[in-house]
Formats: sequence, C-alpha cells, structure tokens
Amino acid sequence: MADQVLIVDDDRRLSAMLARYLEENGFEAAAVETATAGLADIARGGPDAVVLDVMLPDMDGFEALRRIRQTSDVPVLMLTARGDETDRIVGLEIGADDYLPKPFNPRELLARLKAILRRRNGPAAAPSPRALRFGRLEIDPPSRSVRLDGQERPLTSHQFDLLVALAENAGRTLSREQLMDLVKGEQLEAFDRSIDVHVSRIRAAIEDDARHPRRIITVRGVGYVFARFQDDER
Amino acid sequence: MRGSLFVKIYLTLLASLAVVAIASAVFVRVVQDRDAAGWTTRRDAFIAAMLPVGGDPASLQATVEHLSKAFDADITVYAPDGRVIAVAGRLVPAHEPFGRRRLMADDDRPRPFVVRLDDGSLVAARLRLPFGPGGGRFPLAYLALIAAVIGVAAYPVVRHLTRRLEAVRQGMERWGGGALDTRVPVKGGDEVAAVAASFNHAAEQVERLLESHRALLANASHELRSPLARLRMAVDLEKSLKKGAAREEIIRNLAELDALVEEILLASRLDHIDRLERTEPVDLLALTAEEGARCGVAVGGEPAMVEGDAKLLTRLVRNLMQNALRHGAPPVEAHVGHENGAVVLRVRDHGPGIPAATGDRVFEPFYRPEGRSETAGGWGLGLSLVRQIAGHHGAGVRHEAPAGGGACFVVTFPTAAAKA
Repeated sequence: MADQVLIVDDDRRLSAMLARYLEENGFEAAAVETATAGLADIARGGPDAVVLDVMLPDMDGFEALRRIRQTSDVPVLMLTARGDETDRIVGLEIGADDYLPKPFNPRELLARLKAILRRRNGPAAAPSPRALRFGRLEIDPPSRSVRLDGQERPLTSHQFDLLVALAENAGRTLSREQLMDLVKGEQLEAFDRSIDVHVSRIRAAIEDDARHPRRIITVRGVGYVFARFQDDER
Repeated sequence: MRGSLFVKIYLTLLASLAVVAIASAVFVRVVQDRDAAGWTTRRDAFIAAMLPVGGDPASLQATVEHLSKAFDADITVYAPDGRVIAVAGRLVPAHEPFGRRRLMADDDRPRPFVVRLDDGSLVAARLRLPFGPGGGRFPLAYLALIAAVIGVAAYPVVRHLTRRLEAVRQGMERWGGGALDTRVPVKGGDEVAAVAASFNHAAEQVERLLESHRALLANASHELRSPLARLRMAVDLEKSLKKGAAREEIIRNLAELDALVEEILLASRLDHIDRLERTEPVDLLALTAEEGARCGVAVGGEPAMVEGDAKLLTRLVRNLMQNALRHGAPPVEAHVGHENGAVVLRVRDHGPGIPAATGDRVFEPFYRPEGRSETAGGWGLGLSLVRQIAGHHGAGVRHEAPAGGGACFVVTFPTAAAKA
C-alpha cells in the first residue's frame, strides 16, 4: 500500500502541484490549508508522513508541530523560509524529522521524504538519541552503523572509530597526529601512517562523489575537517 | 557632568539668597544709622536741658541720680577742667571719640557716650540696657536663618526635578543603544513630563516604523518565495521541459532570484541587530576549507580560532569565494593565518583585479563599475554582506592588488575576536 502524505500549506497552488508530483512518484497525497485541519487529520491517524509549512494562516508551523508531537510521532518534514536559521534549529529541537527551505527542488523533497519514512519504518533504524546527524548522513555510535539517506554504509571498525572522531569534532581542523590520539586505544598499529588510506575508504562509503569530497575535507599541510554544514544546510 | 544642572539651579538659588541678604543688611544699616544720628542729637539736647549748667553740685548730683535710676545708666559729670563733679553708678570715662558713633556696640551692649554741655563740662554715660530706637538687632542673623531654611527646603525640590530629567536622559540613552521598546516614565504635568511624553511618542513612532520596515521585508520575501517555489515545482512537473539547456536556465535563474531574496532579507536583518545572538569559538580554517570544497577553491593556512557566528562566517567566506569566481578568474585561493596577533583570511583570484580608483565602493550594495553593461551584472549584495558580517565580528575587510595581478580580499579579525 502506498504511503499517505499529508501536505499542510496555505499555498493551495503549490500544494496541488506537490500532491500531483508525489502521486506520480508512488505516494498517496492529500492537502489541507490550515494547521487545525491538519491536526484533525493526524488525530484520525491518517497520514504516514506530514509535509508542514512553517507559515500557516491559523497557527505558526512550530506551534502546529508541538501539538502534533503531543499525540503522534508521525514523521514530519518542515518547509521553512531559506535564510532563517533560527527557524530550522527550533524545528529540529521540537521534533521535526527533517526540514527543507522553500523554494525546494521537488526531487530533493522526494528523497528526504523517502529517507524519513525509511528511518521510521525500517526495523533496524530505530532513531537513536545519541546518533550524530549531518543532513542526509546519520552516524549511530551505539549500533556502530552509518547511514546515508537511511541506507546502511559498510565501514570497518577502525574506519568507524575514525569517522566518529572526525564527526565529533565537526568544524575543526584535525591533524593526523590529533586523529591518531583520538582513536588510539586498542588498534594503535592499525592506524600507523595509514590515516589517509582509511579516510579515502570512508569517503568512498559516505561521499556522493569521493573525488570531490564534501563531508571529509583535506586541508593541505594541516589535516582533515569534517564539514559541519552538509547538503546545503548552511 | 551628571547633575551639573542640579548644581547650577541650586547654586543660583543660594546666590540670589545671598544677594538679597547682603542688600537687606546694607539697607538696614543705613536706615539705622540715620535714625541713630537723629536720636543722638535729641538725646544730647535732652541731657543738656535736664542738667543745670553751673548749678549747685548737690542738685546736680540729685538730678544725675534721678536720671541714672530712670534710665538704668551709669552717669559721670566732669567739670570743664576734668574734675568729676557728680557720679551715679559706676564711673564712666570721658572719651570723646565714642560720642557720636553708634548707640550699640557690636556685642549688643550699649556704648558709653559723652555729651558736652554749654559750659564746657562733660557728661559721660553708659546705658546698661539698650535704649531708644534702632532695636532691630542683627538683621543679618534673621536673613541667614531665612536663607538656610529656603536652602534646605529647595534642595529636595531641585534634586527631584533634576532626577526626573536624569531618568529621561537615561531612557533616551538606552533607546539610542538599541533597546527600542524603552519608554520613560511620565509623571505630573510639568515641562519635564512633557519632554518625557514627547520622547515616548517619538520612540513609539520610530519603533513602529522600523518594525513595519522589518515586517515588510519579511513579508515581501515570503510573498516572493511562494511564486518561486511554485515555479520551481512546475519546472519539474512540466514534461515538455524535461532536461535541456532551457530547463537548466530556468532553474538557475530561479536559484539566483531565491539567493537575492535571501540576501536582501539577511542584509536587513543584520541592519537591525546590534549584537550577534549566538557566538562560539569557530575554527576559521576548517570553515574556509569546508566552503572551499563546496566552491572548488584551494584552501591553505594554519588553524585559527575566531569568536563568532559560524553560519554568518560561512556566508562571509562563501560570498568572497563566489565573488572571486564570478568577477575574478581562476585559480582562486584562500588562506587563513595569524598576522601580528590578528587572524587574517585572504581570498585571492587571478582576474583583472579591482582598479585602485574604485576603493571601498566595491563594498556598496549593488555596486556596478561605470561602463559595465546590464547583462554583465553588478556585484549584488555579496560584498556588502561580507562587510556587514565582518563588522558584526569586529573585523575589517579591504582589498589589495597583489603582485602578479588579480584581486585579494583581506578580512582581519582583531585580537578581541580572534582566540589563539
């Protein structure tokens, strides 16, 4: 059975097009224009996922999200205004599964919608509170797993430790020595002068294009940086 | 100079009191002296009439004793040759100089006085109690008392007045500092209250104006985005547009419009804040490397920490890189390092460079060099945002012409913002 998506947006013309687009791509879609109508729909246990606009005529999107979360854990993708960073942070803090700034690329919305549905439906993908999320990338230390777009990516144990060390220091340049200090422990010799090799293996697993890495970036003469803002989150 | 108005008003009050006091004292003195002079003449005439000139000593002594008793005075009568011929009470020396001066000595006790009779004999007398007119004793003391009372009573009034003015001033200062919701208390119906009310009114107007300006920009950008979002959606839905240069052109133009809307919104937001809300230590090299990977710009240098807003700094770096790619020529290079204790970011391209005559105008919003065509486009808001963001981090931005051509933009974060 196709997943049902509820679109809550007062821009009726956009909602209609989005609904058509989602239906062309294998979803069932319904659109409402007010938060009140959306909340009623969710209370009836209707949708499998919600696309929620941040600006609604009767209630702001964050308030609507707060009320949804009081009764339901249905996956919610928020549509925000680009450039309003605080909106996004607030959205994630009160339980949006993902967000996308308007105007969006419909294919990207589709991909993210599929990802959050996979995250919610997949048996192994119960969301871990300790998971590190960077846009489409999710690193889950307790289960020692890495997912891109909700799909598991294979890494060896050393590589996973190295990735966690990088991700926990996202936005900081780390020298090879610092990286070795961070992951040292059991497998010290495994990292002996081979950090670069391991990094390129990790890149092959998590980068969209390993030749133009966006997540693990080399800083000439210094070391590596794990990018803080990925997938155009800014 | 806080409270100087208070000091002025209060001192003016005290000074006018002092002037009035001195004037009154002088006036009283003059009048008293005139009265006293009239009185002495009459007194001398009276004494001369009472004492029989050349009479017999016994009746003289009796008269002197009568007078002494009647006026409670010491009286001594001297013959012209200096002999004492009659005494009542204690002996009074016959020193002429006192004669026509004042009735009262400065210690408020009667002075002895001497009257010369027709036959040349002298009468020296000292009243034990004040006598005659001129009873106004010590007008100065009264005036001083009045002055003190007024001075003390005026203090709280003047203090209160200047305190209220001070409260209005502080309110204005807070407001000017950016707390636009500041209002000052309006108490009573005097001029100070009127000033406070006028200020509140003006503050209200300005705040409303700024608020509506902000709301206008926010709403305008939202309104602009709705059709942009629909257009973007429609491009992907429209089957006949599938793949091809025209479709890519439409999508690119939509992205440019969207970026412009965002930049206008960000510029207006930066205009309205005077302080960054969230700052944290940011690794500027890491951040530059991140943007370099995104924009295809080579990044080098050493790790350097800067206190700031990571998203805004990312924006600054990206705008510099995009500016170099758009208006300069590759290769574009970025470098982060320490110079004289400051953290310095350089973004350099190898294009035609910026003419020296352009100066800082390249940082103006929508700057366009003369003779440049419409289609070539201007600089938009990119560099103007760079300057705004740098300013919010206490950093300076300039451009230089490096040896070997091209343009180099330099952002210098001073030691306060840079953390070693």
